[in-house]
Amino acid sequence: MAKVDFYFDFLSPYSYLATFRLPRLRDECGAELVFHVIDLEAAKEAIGNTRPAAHLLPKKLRYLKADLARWATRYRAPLAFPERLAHVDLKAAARLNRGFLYAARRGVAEPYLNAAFGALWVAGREPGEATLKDVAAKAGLDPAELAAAADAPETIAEYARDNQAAQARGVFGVPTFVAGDQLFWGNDRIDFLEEYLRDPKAGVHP
Amino acid sequence: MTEIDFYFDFFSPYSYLASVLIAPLAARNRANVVYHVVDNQVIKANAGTTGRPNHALPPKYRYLRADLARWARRYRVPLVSPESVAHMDPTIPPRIGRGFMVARRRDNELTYLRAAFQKIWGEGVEMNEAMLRELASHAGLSADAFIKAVDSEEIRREAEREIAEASERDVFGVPTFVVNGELFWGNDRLEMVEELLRDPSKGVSA
Repeated sequence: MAKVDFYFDFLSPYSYLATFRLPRLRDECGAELVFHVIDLEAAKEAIGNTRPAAHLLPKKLRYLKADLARWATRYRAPLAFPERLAHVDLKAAARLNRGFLYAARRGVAEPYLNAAFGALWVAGREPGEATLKDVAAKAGLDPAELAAAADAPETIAEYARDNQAAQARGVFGVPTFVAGDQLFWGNDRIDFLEEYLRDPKAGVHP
Repeated sequence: MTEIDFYFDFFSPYSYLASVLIAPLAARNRANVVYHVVDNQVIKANAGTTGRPNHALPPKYRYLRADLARWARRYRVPLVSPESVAHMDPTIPPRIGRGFMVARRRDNELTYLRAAFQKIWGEGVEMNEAMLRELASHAGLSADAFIKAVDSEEIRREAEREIAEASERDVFGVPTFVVNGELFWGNDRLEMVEELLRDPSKGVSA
C-alpha cells in the first residue's frame, strides 16, 4: 500500500470531480488515501499568488463551466454550478471545511466528504448554517454538535496547523495529491499519479 | 473539413508540447489546423488575469518543472527546463511570433513553427537577436529581409489583429484549441479535442 495524501477544499469543483477517481486509486493502484481539507485561498496567498480566481473573470468563467461539464460527462458525475459562486460566504465555507475535521474524529470522514461535496456541487447549494446542518445529518452526526465543534478553538487551531503543514509541503492549489516525493496538482493529473503508483520509477526529479 | 484553431505562443512550453501532437491528431481525424500565434502576456491581461507570473511563485514553479518533465516523457520529446528562458529579453518572443506571420506569408509556417519550438524548448537556445536571425532561413528569407519584415508596421498590425480576434473569441491563455465553437485550454485537453472531432455530438456548448 502506498500512502497518498489528498488535499482538497469543498469549494473547489475540481476537488469534487477528483473524488470520482478515489475508488480506482484504492482498488487498482493500491493507494492508502489520507484526507486533508485545506483553504485554497490561503494556499494561494501563502505563495504570493494574487491571480483572481477563474470564476471571477468572465472569459475564464465561461470556459470553467464548459470544462467542468466535460469532466462530469467523462466521469458520469452529476454536477450543478452554484450561480452565486462569486458571492459565496467564505467564512461559512471554511466552517464546512472545519466540520470535516470533527467528522474525521468521529470516524465518518468519507460520509461527510461525500455529503459536503454533494451539497455544493450536486445540489448547487451555498455553504451556510442550513447546508452545514444538512451535511452533518447526512453524515450521521448531530447537527448542533457538529456546528459547535466546527467553531471550537481546538478545531480552528487544527485547521490552521493543517493548512500550514500543506503549504510547507509545497501544496499551492487543490486538488493536490502527494505520493512519495511526487506532487500532482489537478484533477487532470490523476493519470500521472496512477502511473507513478503503478511504477515508482516514473517519478521525476527535474 | 473541420477546422481546429490552435492558439499558441513560442514562449509557452505547453504550447510547444501541444504543437507536437496537434498535426498528427488533426490528420487522423481529417481536420485542418489553423495556426494563430499570440502574445500570451497580452491575452492574459485582456482576460483580466493579474498577479505574478508562475516563475515568481517558487512552489508553483517547482511543480511546473516536474509537470513539464512528465509531459515530455509521455510525448517522448526533448524539453529543456523553463529556467533557460527565465531571464531573457522579453522583447524577443513577440518578434519570434511575428516571424511566424512572415513565414506564413511565404507558405513556410510549419517549417518555421517546428524550427522555432525545437530551438527554444527542445534545445534551450537562448532567445536573442542572433537566434531570431537564425530563424530567417526557415521563413525562406535572408536574415536582413526577415528582420525588416518582422519589425514592419504591417506585420505588427497583423499581430495586434490576431490577438484582438483571439481575445474576442474568449481565448484567455495558451495553448488553446477552438473546434466547432468549443474552446479547450491546455495541451492536457487534447484528448477531449479528439473526442469532439470523433463525435461532434459530444459538444457541451456551454
